[in-house]
Amino acid sequence: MEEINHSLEVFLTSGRTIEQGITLVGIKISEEAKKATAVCYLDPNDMEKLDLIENSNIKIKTSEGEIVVSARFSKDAPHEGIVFMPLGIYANWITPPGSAGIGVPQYKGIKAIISPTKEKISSVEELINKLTKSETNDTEIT
Amino acid sequence: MKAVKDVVCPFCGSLCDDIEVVLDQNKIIEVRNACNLGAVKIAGNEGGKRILQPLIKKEGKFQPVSYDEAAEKAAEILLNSDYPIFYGFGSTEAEAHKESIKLAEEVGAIWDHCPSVCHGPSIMGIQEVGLAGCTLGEIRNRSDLIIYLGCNPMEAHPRHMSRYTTFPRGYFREKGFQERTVVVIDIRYTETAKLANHFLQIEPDGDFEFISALRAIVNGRELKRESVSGIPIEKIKHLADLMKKAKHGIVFFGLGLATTKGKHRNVDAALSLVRDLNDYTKFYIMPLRGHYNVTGAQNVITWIAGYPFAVSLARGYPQYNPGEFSMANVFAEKEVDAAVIVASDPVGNSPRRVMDHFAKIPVISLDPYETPTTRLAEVVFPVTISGVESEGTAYRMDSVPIRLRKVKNGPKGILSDYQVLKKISKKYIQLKKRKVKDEIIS
Repeated sequence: MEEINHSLEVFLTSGRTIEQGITLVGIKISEEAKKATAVCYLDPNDMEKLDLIENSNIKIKTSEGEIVVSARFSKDAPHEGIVFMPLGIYANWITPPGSAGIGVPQYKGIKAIISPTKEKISSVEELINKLTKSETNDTEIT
Repeated sequence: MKAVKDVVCPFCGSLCDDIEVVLDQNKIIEVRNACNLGAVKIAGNEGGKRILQPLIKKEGKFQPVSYDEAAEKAAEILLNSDYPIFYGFGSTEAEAHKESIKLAEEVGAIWDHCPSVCHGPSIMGIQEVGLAGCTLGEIRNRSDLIIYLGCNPMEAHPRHMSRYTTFPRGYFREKGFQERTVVVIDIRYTETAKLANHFLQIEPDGDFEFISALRAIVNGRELKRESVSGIPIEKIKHLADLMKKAKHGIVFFGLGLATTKGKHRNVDAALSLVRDLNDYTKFYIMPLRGHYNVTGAQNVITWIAGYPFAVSLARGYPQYNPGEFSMANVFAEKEVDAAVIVASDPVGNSPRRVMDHFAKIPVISLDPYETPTTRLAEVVFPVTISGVESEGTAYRMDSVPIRLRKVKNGPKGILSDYQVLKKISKKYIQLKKRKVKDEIIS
């Protein structure tokens, strides 16, 4: 199968979900946490634009870096151009620390580019390992 | 088997105090009345990874030690650091807050808690405008107009609508939801919006403009626009009318207002709108607080230091400047060189740049469970779960203090956050005295 090249500019917003809330209790480093938080909810029209089906892997890119997560049809549509991720290490991986001079990160309305990918989704464990092993973090920050 | 009644749920800021827990000996077999989140918090998740022994990292690997050894190591880290931070506290009791502030003052550290990555802008807005506040009990008994602005309690505070705002029958609202109108303003048609009478879909980052337009209409101005922030002017006029005609109205707001473009200015606008509405009727406003005792941490630091969050005690007196001393900022700027994290997982909950610095400095973590933060920590203290295995005081989102109950015994030999902090304090003071003595001798 050919790699699909097209991408979509969106506003990324993050927030709570019940599934994410449940994983806060003792299972933050688990397959369940990955299932609950390594996801991104898209408007059905945006899914169609990128030829995505439920649970296709997508790459989300922001000024902070990129992460691969699973695409889902949003239950809260219509919200074309806005994508939603549950709070957690995956959403935070690409969240900027905020620029309003008040020391609070920018969790909502982050400019992002989404594209379909064949890359696999990292586990929470793998993300933590990246943090401990990465000595080149400084150069990744733009 | 026995049932413990009137248990206070230690999950979210709603602090529901009508939970019943059924126990067989020391094992919880049922949690009644709680939502999914509360039930899991009290009974624990299957496969939840409890930490059962203090740990110190040696050559990259954790080794089990005693509480005393761990406290000694923690005290050494604090003594050797130039600019440490104490952070977390959203999910522990007020007694632990107090003890941690005492230690932070002794050490000369920054003391910060969850608003730094959450409702910080709300607090700053409230400091500027003031808050027309009331209790959740008043809302339950009186409110006929409930507005959720940029928040989704059905996912974050699942019993909020059924227990306090929308569905319960109140003293002056005998018919329950039939006598109440619910309005949701959000960028998505959320689970909360699906239960509302009116849903206004706002464009991202359109809050300040929308609230300002609403405020102008409430104050009798005519606007020459067809829509503001994607909402037709007719709908805004209708909302203004609903608000002015309400007998007792309440606006709840979340991070959808506080952390979008405009930040504390958005909150400032919403607070000013409610202030204006009080010229016509009784209207109140309240931030929906996430963790169950983040309001408590705010109250405790305010009555000790005079400031609500992001307080530096490094100079021996409190200084407040969120843009300089907030956890998110001092980590993103790589300024701090040691951290004490209590009842929180900032590695999982903060932006990547913050996580990166956590991996580079010595971290002391107090948590009942394994989290990304405990993984990166150098010293890990296991603790009891406040409100389940130890008691204490927590403040509900409306600043009403409620006493948490102890439902069951914690794992054998495990101390509470308060007891661990006390141990670290004692060790720290001992080591500091010894260091001073050694310096005098040499």
